[in-house]
Amino acid sequence: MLEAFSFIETSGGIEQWVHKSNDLQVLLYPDATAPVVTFMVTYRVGSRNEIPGNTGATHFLEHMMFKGTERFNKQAGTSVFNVLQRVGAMVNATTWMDRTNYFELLPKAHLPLAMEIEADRMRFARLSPEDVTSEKTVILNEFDRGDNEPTQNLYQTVWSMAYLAHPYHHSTIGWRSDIEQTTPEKLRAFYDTFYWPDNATLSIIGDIDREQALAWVHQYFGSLPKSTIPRPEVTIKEPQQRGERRITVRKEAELGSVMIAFKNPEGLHTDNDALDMLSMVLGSGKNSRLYRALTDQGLTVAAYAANSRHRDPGLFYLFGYQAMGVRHAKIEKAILKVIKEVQKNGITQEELDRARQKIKTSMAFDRDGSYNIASELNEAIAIGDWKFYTEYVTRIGAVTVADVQRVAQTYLIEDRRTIGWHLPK
Amino acid sequence: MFVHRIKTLKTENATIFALPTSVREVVSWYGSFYSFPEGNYPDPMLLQELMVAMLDKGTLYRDKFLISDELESRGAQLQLFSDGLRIGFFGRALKTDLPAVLGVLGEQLNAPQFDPGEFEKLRLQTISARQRSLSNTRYRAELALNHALYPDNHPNYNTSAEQEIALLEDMKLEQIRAYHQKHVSANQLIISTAGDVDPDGFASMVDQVFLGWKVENRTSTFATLGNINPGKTVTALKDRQNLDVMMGIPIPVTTLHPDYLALYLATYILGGNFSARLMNTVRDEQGLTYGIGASLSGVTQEYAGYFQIYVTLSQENLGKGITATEEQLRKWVQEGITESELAEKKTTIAGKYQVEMATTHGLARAMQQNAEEGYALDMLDDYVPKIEALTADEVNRVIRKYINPEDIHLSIAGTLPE
Repeated sequence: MLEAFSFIETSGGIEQWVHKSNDLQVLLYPDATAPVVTFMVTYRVGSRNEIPGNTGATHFLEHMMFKGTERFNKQAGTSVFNVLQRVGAMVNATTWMDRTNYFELLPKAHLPLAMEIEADRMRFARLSPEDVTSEKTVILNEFDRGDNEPTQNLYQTVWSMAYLAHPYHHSTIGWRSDIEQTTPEKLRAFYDTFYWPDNATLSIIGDIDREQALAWVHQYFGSLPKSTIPRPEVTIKEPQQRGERRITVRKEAELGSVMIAFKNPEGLHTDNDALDMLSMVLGSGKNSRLYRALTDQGLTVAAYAANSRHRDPGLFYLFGYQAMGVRHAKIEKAILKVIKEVQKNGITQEELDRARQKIKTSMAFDRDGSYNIASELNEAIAIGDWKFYTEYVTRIGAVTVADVQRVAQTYLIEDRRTIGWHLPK
Repeated sequence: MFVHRIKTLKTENATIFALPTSVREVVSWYGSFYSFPEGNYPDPMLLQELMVAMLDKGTLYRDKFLISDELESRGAQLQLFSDGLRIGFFGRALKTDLPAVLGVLGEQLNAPQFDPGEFEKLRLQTISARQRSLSNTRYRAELALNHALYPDNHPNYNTSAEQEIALLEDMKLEQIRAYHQKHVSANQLIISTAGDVDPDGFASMVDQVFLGWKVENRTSTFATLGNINPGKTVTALKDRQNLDVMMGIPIPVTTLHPDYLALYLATYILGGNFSARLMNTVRDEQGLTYGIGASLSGVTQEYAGYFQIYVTLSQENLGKGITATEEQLRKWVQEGITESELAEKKTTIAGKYQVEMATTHGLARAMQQNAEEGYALDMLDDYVPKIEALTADEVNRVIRKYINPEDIHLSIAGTLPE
């Protein structure tokens, strides 16, 4: 069966194959530590691919995929959840800005079943008007749940303010009015544009026999054609920001929060490796600079930093949860002071080593179970290269303290900055 | 079947369950001991929470930054937590780092610094965190249900955030010290570990951590049962378009009760996963909610817990959603479960059990939970056969015996529709 596939390469023990007839990518990592397998389908489509008026389509479609196909559906007693959960599978899906993924973590004997279902819904989703109507209110409730949370509200508002033209402007769930106005036709058009084997990667991690796994991939996915519909490229570039932006979110709560974000470069850019290290030095653990300067000083209940890497430029951000009686301005000032200190004096080798070691150990922990590996691969695929996962330790190994200081000086500047405050009403 | 691979070791004051697996380098462990959070304190559970939170704030030998550096420089994880009647800990580290990480655990448990400055910071942070929770709909709905079902001397009772803030205002470090002295002891000290572990070597390290710990004779004075309290509690919050709804009733069943597994399976059929009845109907068919489920909560080997349903509803669907959920509840009680549901969920639970055991973390947690629930080690192998042996008649009998829909308390929190 291997002749149906082209072997591309191996990296970090993970093999990449491509189905010759439909360009479906397959990543394999055999690991017999436990008799289970994670099967994950990553579609290279996310909210980045949506246009105004159709925001939230990727996420809506993710929900609709569980309504099934002609073969797997509730009316026939074969709904996706019923069939898979019956065998003990952990089943779910997630949507993010650059990708959508569907996964099953299940006893190895049932891997063919997961493949059969995923192959079927890759091209034969029903998307019936009745199902769209009933799922719409489910998603609106999901929207309301998120909207309840002031910090989530602030997070999304800062992204919207930082990105005015690029689709990262809107949240993955979409605007409420777009969800309300979604139609089966819109979803069908979106599905027919993006749900094809040549826009997907299968990750098969766990107790598998390589040849058998590929044989099943061929059996279930091999007959699906590649897309004949051109997929629109996202060509829009965010116009250059000129000056700091500020936003406030007023929402009922007891205490507020502060978020300070800076535009970072596109996901695969090596400067992001240094920014990753910087985010850990600033925000991870009790020895982090934010903990020492804010939380330990009673300014925040918690504070952290993150470098959100995406296919296109994303955000490096710092977040502080206000402590009782502390003004937002004081928190903001303290965060900016922490940044300024790094820009001026850099970080220590000890801080960098500690951040690197955390990641190395975390990668070793990933190998304890198949889901984490698939999940990390999923994010690497999203930003443009699955080997980003396997090469990550090498990438961060090349980062120096000088690099970290340089990226702090280059990216954490006023002209890339958006500041958001959640002010309790 | 894997019990035969688990090595049970008894040290001077601990029982250790160790399961070497083929995973390379990684070791995970869970542990706990009885702390019996009772006594002459304004709120022993709150005191226990703060005492445990103080344990990673420095020891007599190293401040919190040095301790943190010891762990972070190795990428190791170590957490201590307050867990009702017990105090627990979890860790994960590379095999070579075990001595250092367990050394930190020992230092934190045996020689906490209890620095006044650190206590003051923690006290103020906890007050802030409690204030933040006041506007959280899920927290408020759960709390109102909790107060409807439990007296304040039951281990499942949760003090309200407002009361806790008032107590925190007056809390003193001396109370924390006294609590540590009196409640940290080797009562039913259990540790479970899995991964690239040498059981005997691990036991030797554990021996050092708990050197000199004694078993204290204690008897619990907690109330044993909750209150059946039909009715409704509404907690009005501003600016919250999604409302959290909880429904619940105390169940006089502990983990060791002969009806426990049947009741667990019954609840799973109603609301245990995406293909369970509540998701199937109220979400999938009627589109009324994003999140709905049912579970047994607060059940231990000593104390009975409660049956609960949770559902999240947007304002416009509040009434319809509650009605639809109650309808499913009544149907489940009156008509019972079907043979096909039973068969489906039995295979679900068997498969899920296998999947949950796929990591060292999952294995250690399962072994620990099994022991804490009062079961012999064999239960780890017997669990699935016992579930598979349950009949529809048994499951329906326990539903009717313990759940009367008329006795359910309903709790709603959020911004009510106009």
